[in-house]
Amino acid sequence: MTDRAVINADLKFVQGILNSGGADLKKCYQCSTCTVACPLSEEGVPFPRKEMIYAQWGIRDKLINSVDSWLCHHCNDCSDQCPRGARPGDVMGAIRQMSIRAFSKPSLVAKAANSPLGALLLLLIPMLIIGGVICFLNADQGFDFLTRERIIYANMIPVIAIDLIFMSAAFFAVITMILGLRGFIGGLKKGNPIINGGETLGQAVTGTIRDILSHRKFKECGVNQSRGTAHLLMMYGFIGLFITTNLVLVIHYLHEFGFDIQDTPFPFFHPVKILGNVSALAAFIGIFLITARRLFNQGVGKSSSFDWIFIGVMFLTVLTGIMSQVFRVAEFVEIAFITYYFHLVFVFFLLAFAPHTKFGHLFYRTTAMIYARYCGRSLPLKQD
Amino acid sequence: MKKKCGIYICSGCGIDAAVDTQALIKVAEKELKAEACHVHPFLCDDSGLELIKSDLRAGTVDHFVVAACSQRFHQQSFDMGPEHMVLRAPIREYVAWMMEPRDENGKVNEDTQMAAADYIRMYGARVKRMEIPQPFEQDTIKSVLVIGGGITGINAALEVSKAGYPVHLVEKQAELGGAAKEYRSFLPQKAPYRDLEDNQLEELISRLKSKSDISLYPSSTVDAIDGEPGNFTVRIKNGQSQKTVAIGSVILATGGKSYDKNKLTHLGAQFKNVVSSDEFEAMAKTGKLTRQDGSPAKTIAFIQCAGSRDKNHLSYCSSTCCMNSLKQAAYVRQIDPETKAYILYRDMRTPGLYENFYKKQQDDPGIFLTKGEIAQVSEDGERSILIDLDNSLLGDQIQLKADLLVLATGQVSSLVDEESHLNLGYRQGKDLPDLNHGYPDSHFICFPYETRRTGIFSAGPVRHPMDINEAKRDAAGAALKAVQTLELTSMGKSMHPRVGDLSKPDFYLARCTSCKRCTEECPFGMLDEDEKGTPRPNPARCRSCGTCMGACPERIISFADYSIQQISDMIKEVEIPDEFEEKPRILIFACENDSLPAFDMAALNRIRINPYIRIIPVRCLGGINLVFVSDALSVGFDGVMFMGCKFGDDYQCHFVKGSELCNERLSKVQETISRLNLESERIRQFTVTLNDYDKLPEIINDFVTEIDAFGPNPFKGM
Amino acid sequence: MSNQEKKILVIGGGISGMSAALDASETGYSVILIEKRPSLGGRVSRFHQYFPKLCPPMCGLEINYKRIRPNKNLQVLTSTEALKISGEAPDLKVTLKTSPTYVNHKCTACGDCVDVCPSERPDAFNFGMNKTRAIYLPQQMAYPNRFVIDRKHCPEGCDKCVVACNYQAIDLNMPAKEQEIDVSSVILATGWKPYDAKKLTHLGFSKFPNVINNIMMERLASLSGPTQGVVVRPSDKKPPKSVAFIQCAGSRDENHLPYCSSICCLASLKQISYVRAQNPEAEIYLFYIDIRTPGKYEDFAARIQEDPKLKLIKGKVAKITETADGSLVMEAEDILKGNKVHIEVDMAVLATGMEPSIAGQSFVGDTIKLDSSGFIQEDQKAGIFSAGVAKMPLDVSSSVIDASGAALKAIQNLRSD
Repeated sequence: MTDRAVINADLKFVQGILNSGGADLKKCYQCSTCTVACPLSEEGVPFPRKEMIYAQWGIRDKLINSVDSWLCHHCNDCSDQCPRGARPGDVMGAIRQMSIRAFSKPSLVAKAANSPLGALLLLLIPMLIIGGVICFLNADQGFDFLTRERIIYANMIPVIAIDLIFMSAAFFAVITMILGLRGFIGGLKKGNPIINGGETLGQAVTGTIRDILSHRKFKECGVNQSRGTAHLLMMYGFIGLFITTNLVLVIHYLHEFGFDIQDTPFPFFHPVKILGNVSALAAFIGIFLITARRLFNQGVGKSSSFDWIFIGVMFLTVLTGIMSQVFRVAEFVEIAFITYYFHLVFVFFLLAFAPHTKFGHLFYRTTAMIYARYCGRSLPLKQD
Repeated sequence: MKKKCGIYICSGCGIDAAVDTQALIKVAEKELKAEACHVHPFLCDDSGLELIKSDLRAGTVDHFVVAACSQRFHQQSFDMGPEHMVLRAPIREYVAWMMEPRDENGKVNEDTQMAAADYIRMYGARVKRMEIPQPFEQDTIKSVLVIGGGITGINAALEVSKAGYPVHLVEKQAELGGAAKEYRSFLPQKAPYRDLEDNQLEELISRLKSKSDISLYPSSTVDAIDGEPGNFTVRIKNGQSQKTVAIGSVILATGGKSYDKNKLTHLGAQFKNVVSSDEFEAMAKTGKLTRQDGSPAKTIAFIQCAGSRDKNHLSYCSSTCCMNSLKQAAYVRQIDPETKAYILYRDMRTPGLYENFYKKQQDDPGIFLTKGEIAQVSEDGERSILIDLDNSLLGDQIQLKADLLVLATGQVSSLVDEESHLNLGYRQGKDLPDLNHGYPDSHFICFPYETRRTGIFSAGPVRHPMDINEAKRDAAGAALKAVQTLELTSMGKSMHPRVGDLSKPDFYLARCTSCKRCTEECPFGMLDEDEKGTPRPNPARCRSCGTCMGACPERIISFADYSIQQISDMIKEVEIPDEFEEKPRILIFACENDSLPAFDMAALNRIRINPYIRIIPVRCLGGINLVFVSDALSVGFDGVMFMGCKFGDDYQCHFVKGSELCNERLSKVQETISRLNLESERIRQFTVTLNDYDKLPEIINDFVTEIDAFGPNPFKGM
Repeated sequence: MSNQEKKILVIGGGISGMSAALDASETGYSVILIEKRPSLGGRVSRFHQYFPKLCPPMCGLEINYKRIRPNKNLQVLTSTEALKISGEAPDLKVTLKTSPTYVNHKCTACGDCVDVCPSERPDAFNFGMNKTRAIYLPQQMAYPNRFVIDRKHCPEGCDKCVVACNYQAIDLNMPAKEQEIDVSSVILATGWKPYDAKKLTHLGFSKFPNVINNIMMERLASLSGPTQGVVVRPSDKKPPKSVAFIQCAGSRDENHLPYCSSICCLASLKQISYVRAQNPEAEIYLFYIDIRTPGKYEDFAARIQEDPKLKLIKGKVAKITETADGSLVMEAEDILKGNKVHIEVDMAVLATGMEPSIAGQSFVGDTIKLDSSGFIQEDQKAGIFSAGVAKMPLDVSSSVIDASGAALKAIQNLRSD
């Protein structure tokens, strides 16, 4: 037997990448301009040139287990300079997508979540659940929440119901995410053995969180500087919204348990309200910028359904959230409740299928970044 | 007939500032007894030319020495018509621009003046000996023989025919088409060079057959070619029958062949499922890609440079295999979209616009490419081939598995290991002389068609590895040369590089000793021999370089305007001062293609040169006869320099062998010189290119210093 | 018209145009060869040596000039360009414009004018690396061997050269001349120009003095160049101790020239021999994607690659930075080793590709069909043919072969009726 690595080109996998945003993959002729152009690429075993040839040959194991594809922040400096127009940045994105798809469990959900039709089908789940709950709770009262003096969304669906539904969704997400990440970490370990010079797990985690919060990897980018800003806005917007939601929960239950605290809906200048609205605005601007850039800026790269479904749902989530408030204040009763309903549906989708959609990059990338530090792959950035 | 010689000295361009032209007139009048001598301040101007022409009209003068600028200026201005010889004595360049001018008081430098006077004497003496060359006349047969009926041959025949000349096309197989018969598709041949073309052979053959002035000889070979350009007799053999045709020039288009796959055992040639690119092409033409056992081949690997770029096989690159394998990979994908093609290359070579085809094939998801070095090819049971690859883009050491392995075998000329296709009845052999790899010798950068057999041009893969598109271009170029041969030969004119030269060597055979040096040494095989070994000239094969003249120990070969006598006269006309210590004399023979213009360039840059040199231009160092050495030494020259082109594998000699032959002759004479107790270093050959003009003073001064150390030539003044 | 009266016009006096013009005229046809610069020679006259023999291009040029000088079938018009081609073959009409050189045929190239000329101009022939006087010889191997004046650089009212010239060769009021000629065939041999390396923004050409292109390297190595043949780095005029050659600088690049320029690999290998011949200690780095040395050139390439001081690195230099002392840092991935390299060198040579020069010339219009890269397509209207790099990237030898073929096609066109 040979101790050589046996390579078997996988045509299907290549086609998978080609259809997942890496459409120009095959143009690469291995000059490695990309590797030099990349501000994040390492000195020792740099990327993305080697990923390009692995992808051209469809070497699945090397790609889905690759930690390097996650070190790429898709700034597309490489694609900008690529003499063949092979768009390595987009290929790296496609590789990440292939990776998420490969590890997400159940794989059927992962597959569905990233095809337009499948996503619609999956969207039916929260629509039916939430719609069903609303009907069940309101049928005997004749849907009188529509006719009450004030628009109070809790009248349509009480917080406790929402909590139960979303707790289950979150539970599903957490379980599937754990399953996915377990496979992913296994893959990372296989593909990227631990080398000397790695950080301790603690250092790796704190370092990674620092990197993420500061977005400093994005800041290395050349051509797509604005991208980092958009992503930053969106990320902090979502963090803000996440905190808001949880604060609301806490306040609500404190109120329920008899504390003298104002329950929702809050007045406009309530600090939680302000946090929520600012966050929503930030998220909205972020998502708007991202969408616009993807639609109109040639240099950004091709977006696959994987990208669009995620962006679309994000966009709709934020939009319906904002509009729910607007319509409530404007007292467009029916529209307000319908919008809120859809807001809940989208949030459900986002939450439940987070590990299966591009939202999963939140976990996968974080894991990969921690692992990269931990295994010694990721060296300190130049300014460190 | 006695020449009436006129000497016209220009005093312009600084000549007057360096030499006393009136004193030169005296040399011309008294020593040379010239019929007319004039100085003019602007000889190339209308008034100066009128001075010459009026003497011509008056009949006072019929041969001219223009002592002014070099031949590289105003050549047509000083052309006095075909009946009159004009020699240019470049005293502007050799003397005025390179030697010490008059001092501040206007007094001429003695050495400078002597040099100028010597040049007047040398050229004056020579012009008197010169005759007007008479063109060689023969009945020129204006038709062309094309040997080989493949793509190159067919295209060459069509091109010649379209230019209005009849063609005889000989093909050894029954069917025309050569290697292209087996091609499933042709390479892309027009912008944007992305798509394969259908095999166009049939259309090409039907066009060929429709031409009434193209005679086809299928299943035939050329049994003999005798004669010379413009008048070759060709015996064409078809089985037992023979036919003789007369033609004027030849295009050899016998193509190439694949390197023998069986020699490539290191690449697994001995295994079952390993085929050559030719074998694969034939398989693709059937539309079925299978292993030897008939089962479908689903993974097909191509190994590039199979035998090429390999010191143990072909050291050169076969140029065509990268494009060919990309083409064949396209077949793989056309035939079955589920089948994968691996191309394992060292460097992907798709030059020029072919890059577009590379891009297109790359884009196919089922074509997988990587650079790598083949470490080993082995068999995995009966059905698969394992390829071990080192230093690949996919990893240091990898292994690939294929159902079928295609070795992209290189190209070899059909001149290698085959019976002669030309069967020339030349004394020097049946074939075109080759240089390396079996490809015909030619000065292949600037003048790619100049083989060593005048009027016989090779085209297509027979002379260099090339693909169909290149072969088509090559065929057109060779067709031009074949046609040009007919036209120039019909006027008795030489071919490249002395295009238009009418002079051909004359042989005074009564004194010939049949030593055969000339017949052996002529770089172009101009001379055949009779039974006794006496040369039988074929003037139309001649390129007028004078190598035969240099070779002849009996000095019986000469040209009307270029002879041993003329050069000896030039040597003898130089005034050699008796007192060596002050005035050594160095004679320089300079090849007029490269070394002589180097002196012009030096002059243009006003590079100061040793005033003791005298330069005699020669057509090529091949024309150096050893009598020049003895003449030079006996008149008292202290040293002789021969300046010419580089020789060897990267030769730059425009007559291929001239400088090399000169070097051989000199090495022989050096022994003789030593025996005469003379330092052999006094006679030396130097490689001087046009690029070396700045080094001339140093080369010459170093030589003069050496000669100084030896002391004067003891024969001086004897 | 008889064949002899029908004329062939060859546009472009480089090696392809000269070869085509000579081949057709030596076959017996009347040829007019026009060249827009004041001298024949084209690109090859800028080269120090040819690969693979390392012989001087001047030698081949000299042989060609030698063929041109006595050739009565061939008329050479320099400083002349074609403005318009109209009509249908075999009656094509071409409008020619001859720009004034302010020096007439009486010039003897004696050079008295240069000594008195008070003004200087950057020498475009040497890529601006040195200066000539406003009256100058276009190049050492000029044809015609005649001075020309760059009037843009003449001081107002200056006539010093006119006074100095003993031969009435200078005419400062020489007008431009336009004429229409009748020809039956046209051969376009308009050649190429080096791709503008300034567009390769990451490589620092024109920003860092020691980044040069390959034509500048030819001029530096050439005896008639700005340094009389000594290869020095431009910033401090010292012989470089290390030189990097960067292949595919512009070629094989969708953002620049999408095709391969065919000759740059060989040109760089040749230039490596220039540096190594002058400096036995110099370290050389050759960064490549694919080494393309087809056919017999492989033997030459193999010979150069035997040099122990030459390191070949597969990987494109995507970034050059300058250090404080003017040295340069090449950034690339050494692909076969799989790591990034930062190599400091004294000087970097960009192997810039060939860009066809026909685009934008006024006669092109709708008359000449160009492909998307600006090369002349094979099929043109009757009577119009192309030769050499105007058609596709080719080396000298292939250009000459192509030129012979073009000459034949032009002749066929003359005989076709």
